[in-house]
Amino acid sequence: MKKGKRILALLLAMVMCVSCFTACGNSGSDPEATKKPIQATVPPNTVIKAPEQVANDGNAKKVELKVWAPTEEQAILKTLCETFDGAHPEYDITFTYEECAEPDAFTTVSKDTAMAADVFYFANDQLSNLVEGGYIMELSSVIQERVEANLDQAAVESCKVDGKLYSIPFTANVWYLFYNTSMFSEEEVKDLDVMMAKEIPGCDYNFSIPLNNGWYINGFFLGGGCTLFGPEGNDPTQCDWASDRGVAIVNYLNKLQATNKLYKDNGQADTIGLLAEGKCASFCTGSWKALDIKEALKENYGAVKLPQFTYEYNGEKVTKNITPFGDYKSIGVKRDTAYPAEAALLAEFLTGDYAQEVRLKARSISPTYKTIMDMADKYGDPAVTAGVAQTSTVIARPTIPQLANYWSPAATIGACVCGKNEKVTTDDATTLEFLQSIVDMITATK
Amino acid sequence: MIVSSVSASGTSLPRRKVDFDCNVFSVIAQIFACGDIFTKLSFLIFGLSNLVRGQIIKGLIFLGTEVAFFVYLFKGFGAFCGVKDLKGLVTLGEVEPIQEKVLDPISGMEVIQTIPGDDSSKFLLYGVVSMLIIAAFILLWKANVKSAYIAQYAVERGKKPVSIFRDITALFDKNLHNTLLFFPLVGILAFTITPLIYMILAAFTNFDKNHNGINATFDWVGLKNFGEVLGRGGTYGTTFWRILGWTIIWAIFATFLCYIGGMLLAMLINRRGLKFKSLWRTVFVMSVAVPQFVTLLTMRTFIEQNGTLDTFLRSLKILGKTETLGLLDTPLNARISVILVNCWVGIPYTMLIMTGILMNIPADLYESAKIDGATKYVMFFKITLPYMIFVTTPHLIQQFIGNINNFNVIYLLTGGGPSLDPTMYQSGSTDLLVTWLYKITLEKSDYCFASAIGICVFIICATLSLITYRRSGSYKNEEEFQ
Amino acid sequence: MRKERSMSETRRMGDILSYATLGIMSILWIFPIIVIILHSFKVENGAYYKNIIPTNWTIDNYTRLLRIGMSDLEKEQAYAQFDKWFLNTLFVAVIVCLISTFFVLAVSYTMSRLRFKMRRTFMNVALILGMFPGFMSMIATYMILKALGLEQTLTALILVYSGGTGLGFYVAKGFFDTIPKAIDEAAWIDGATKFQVFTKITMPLSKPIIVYTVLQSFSGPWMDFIFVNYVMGTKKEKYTVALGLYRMIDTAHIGEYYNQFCAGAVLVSIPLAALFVAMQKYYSEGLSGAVKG
Repeated sequence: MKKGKRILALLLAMVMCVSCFTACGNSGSDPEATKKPIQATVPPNTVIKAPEQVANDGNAKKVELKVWAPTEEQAILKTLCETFDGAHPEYDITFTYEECAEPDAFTTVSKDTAMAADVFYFANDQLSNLVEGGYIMELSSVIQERVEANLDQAAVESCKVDGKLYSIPFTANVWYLFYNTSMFSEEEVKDLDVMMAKEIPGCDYNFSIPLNNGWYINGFFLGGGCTLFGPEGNDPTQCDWASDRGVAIVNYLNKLQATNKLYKDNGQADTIGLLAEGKCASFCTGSWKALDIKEALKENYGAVKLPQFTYEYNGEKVTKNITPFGDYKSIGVKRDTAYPAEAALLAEFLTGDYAQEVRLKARSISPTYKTIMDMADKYGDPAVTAGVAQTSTVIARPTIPQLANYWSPAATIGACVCGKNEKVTTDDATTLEFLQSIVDMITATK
Repeated sequence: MIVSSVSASGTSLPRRKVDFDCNVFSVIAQIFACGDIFTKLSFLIFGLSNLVRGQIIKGLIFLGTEVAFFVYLFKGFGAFCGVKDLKGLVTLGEVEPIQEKVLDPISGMEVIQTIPGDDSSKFLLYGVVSMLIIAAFILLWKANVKSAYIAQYAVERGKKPVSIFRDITALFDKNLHNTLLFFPLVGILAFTITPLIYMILAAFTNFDKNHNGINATFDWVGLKNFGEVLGRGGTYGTTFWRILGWTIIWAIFATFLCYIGGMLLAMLINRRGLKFKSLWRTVFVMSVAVPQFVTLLTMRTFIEQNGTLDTFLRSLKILGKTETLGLLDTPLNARISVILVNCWVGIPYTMLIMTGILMNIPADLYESAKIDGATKYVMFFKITLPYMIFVTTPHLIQQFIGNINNFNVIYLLTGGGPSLDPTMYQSGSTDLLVTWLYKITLEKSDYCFASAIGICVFIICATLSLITYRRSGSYKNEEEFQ
Repeated sequence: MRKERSMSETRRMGDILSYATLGIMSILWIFPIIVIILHSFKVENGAYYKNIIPTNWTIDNYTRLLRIGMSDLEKEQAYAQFDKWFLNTLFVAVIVCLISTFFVLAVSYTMSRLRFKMRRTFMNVALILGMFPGFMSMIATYMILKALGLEQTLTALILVYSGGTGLGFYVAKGFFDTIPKAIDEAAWIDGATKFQVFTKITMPLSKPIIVYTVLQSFSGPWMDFIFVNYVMGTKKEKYTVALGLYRMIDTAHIGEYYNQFCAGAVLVSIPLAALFVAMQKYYSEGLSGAVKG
């Protein structure tokens, strides 16, 4: 027991040391190493015209609104919401801001609608789940007209279910290619095979993509010419990935994997560490990582829309662009909110021209408001330009509920390729069988 | 039992004594038979017998609770109303939500509002609560009837019925079990039993993402969910049996490896003449003290593809520049990794238990064996091993069942993956039934299926326990052990 | 003579082998913990750092985690609010510890020493209830909390963590079974009530199991992240340490917050480990006494 007591004393001493250090502040640490968190705020000296602020008149209706937005948005959220309140003298709004990452919106809202935010940010792939579950409010025709007139058409379409508008889009949720400009030239990043063939000294991986994720693998299949849920994306029984073309694309992916220069991102930002060290030359991801990548690559920061790839099909070489289905992130209102009109107007404001301009300048994410999109083109941020360019070439995401069955099976294709699993590497017949089982799961009616 | 006795005054009244050791129904029947008019009336009006015999406070308490119960039943307290809730339990709500367009006065906009329908999940919960309240009421009725008779019996024998103060002191002596158990029972009832009954009942409804009480009401469907989960046809069915197979294999390996490993480690540390015993033990105990999600997540960043282990081996040139060990990438590798990491987590814990037991083996057993000329190995196999196995068998069984439900290790280490087989619905190669259950609950909102799976897990665990406890019971024989 | 010498030689070889094995195993067991401690001082962001020992050291991760030296605005905007989380968890843990210990000891004493009609039934029911997977009832429990108006509060956590603990009496009961009944009987003859026996005689004899129960119930709230995730949702200022740390390593945040996660893990583990180590003797005694029963 004496030894135990000694260990105890040692541990307590450690605790005391740590607290001493913290009390003394930063003594002993490298001043360069003090890192401020990456806060997305509007760069100084930027002037954006805000809507006129009017004082509340005596009869202002007292409103309470809870808003859920991701961490990156929180810095500008308060300003935007207060501007909204200021612009409406007829309302006296008290806001509650809470953090909720966009991918978690559906699970958090559905868990307890009474506690859910009145206005929340989410990614549109959850839209059909939200509508089905009865958690999101249909927006009135007045708002729908204004939205359709002012915002990008494809964006608005992705917020509709059965022709009814449920949310308003604020950015494209597409992924494109970020790359190290000192390792690849602008010409080279137009073709994936050229990129993979290049020998870059000191670099282990030429290309990184989270292949075992349904989001990313469809870029190759859909880009290569297969279709999901029929040519219009609305037939839940059709999926032609289990075909010779599908097999050809899988073989192409195997070839990519075999070069040993392909890195499968874990989805946990490990690639960004590699980018910072110069061990990886390019990374497929979207604007949500733009700031982190800018930090990592510093002056070698570059972004471009997805390159083309060449695969062998029926003895011929087919060259196509990697074209995933694109999606949007939008803002919606919960169905049983106590203030339906006010919440809907707030959602419209947060996706309006003022808010989108602020967001563009602070977070470098591509807008959906038509006039702001024109501005963004000349804005000069590679990520935004790439995003806008990519958005114009994506395939519309299928809006049918059957899409929920797509993600899990599709991810296994990428997992098998990266794991060099014999289900995809043996021969074409085995691959075809494997793809058929995938298609069966995707089109299964449960 | 009819015992005729003569009262102090000499008159002979029919006195029958009720035998309280019989089963409940017989006791109540006897009370009814033996009771006088007041006791019989107490069957309907609580506390009457007590009031008549002078137990004012007790009688008023009984009467008060009866009144409260009937108020609850017909009028209700707040949102809870007995009859309404019971009816709701049967129908599970019928009104579906309606959408309508309303003109908002201030903004002048037309908003589409939904008038919510019946929330079936609330109906189910309130129904369960009302069932429990009725059950509590029946118990109260039984206590009332018993107390009525005891009061009558005391008066008949010429004694004064027990005062309330005597009752209270008895609570700390004869009836201590009631006092000590009261609050824990309330806690268990509210937070373990009620939710459990709710979820068990949910397994017999169609409470899934299309019928979640908000977009539509759900209804009773009987055993349909079990058919789908256990059948071989549907997506749930095929996945269920395969996950079950892996769960059993995992539980066997995890439990036995930890057990043997812990025992060996304890014996190693306990070796005669080994220095720094408590230091060694402290080192291993530390890995228990650090919260599991910290250690497991660290382990995951170590062994996953391109993780710390890979990078380390690459810097040593054991692996090529982009090669990976793939410890979590194929089903077989992932399963072995998970079992090994579980050993890392579990062995210190087993070691602690074994150490305590080892130190308590009577030394004279060893002494007498050495005098008889036994070698170390003989002593181990004939004394140590049997003793340890005998003492820890119940613990072993508990660990096995615990490992079937071992959520943390699998979920944090692999998330249930890798998912290389598309026919496994929402699951991967290392998923246990519990982690699958969790995924279905959170990500798919198919609560009815999750409940059905949970009930199946329970049936498996209960069956296994029953079998093994029976067999271990026969081992609890000191002679056989000696 | 020769036999003795070879015996002492084999003895020494055995000793060397033992120390070597123990040494290797200790390294294996301690290694991840050491890495976390080391990584909590590293500078570069990201979870995939190639060196075990950081090249640049800083204690910034700790200061940022504990929000030391930040302006009020920064404090509000910080993603990691460890100081608040630590206090929340401490509060919950202390109260849960008190309630839990009382429940467990009361129930196990009752099952062990008192005899009443429903005893066997209760024990069997408790055994059965323990076999249902824990979070099957998560949703229902949340609904009950909602009906009580307690969603997103620390009170909810306290109630749920301590509510059903009466079912976990098995270990403590085993310990009480090893205390001879003769002591109780002697006290009864002397006129003590059962309650007096419980408080004045049995409890002082049961220090190991009391310590064990206190330790178990105290450490619970520090480690659970599943249930508190469900209850607290987005209310960050009410998070416990476990949930806060868990949130720091989800996909969106791990790049930036991994270092702080390590720092937080170290801060949580030190008190818990110290407690475990100090109470090791009692823990072992309590467990082994119980298991024997």
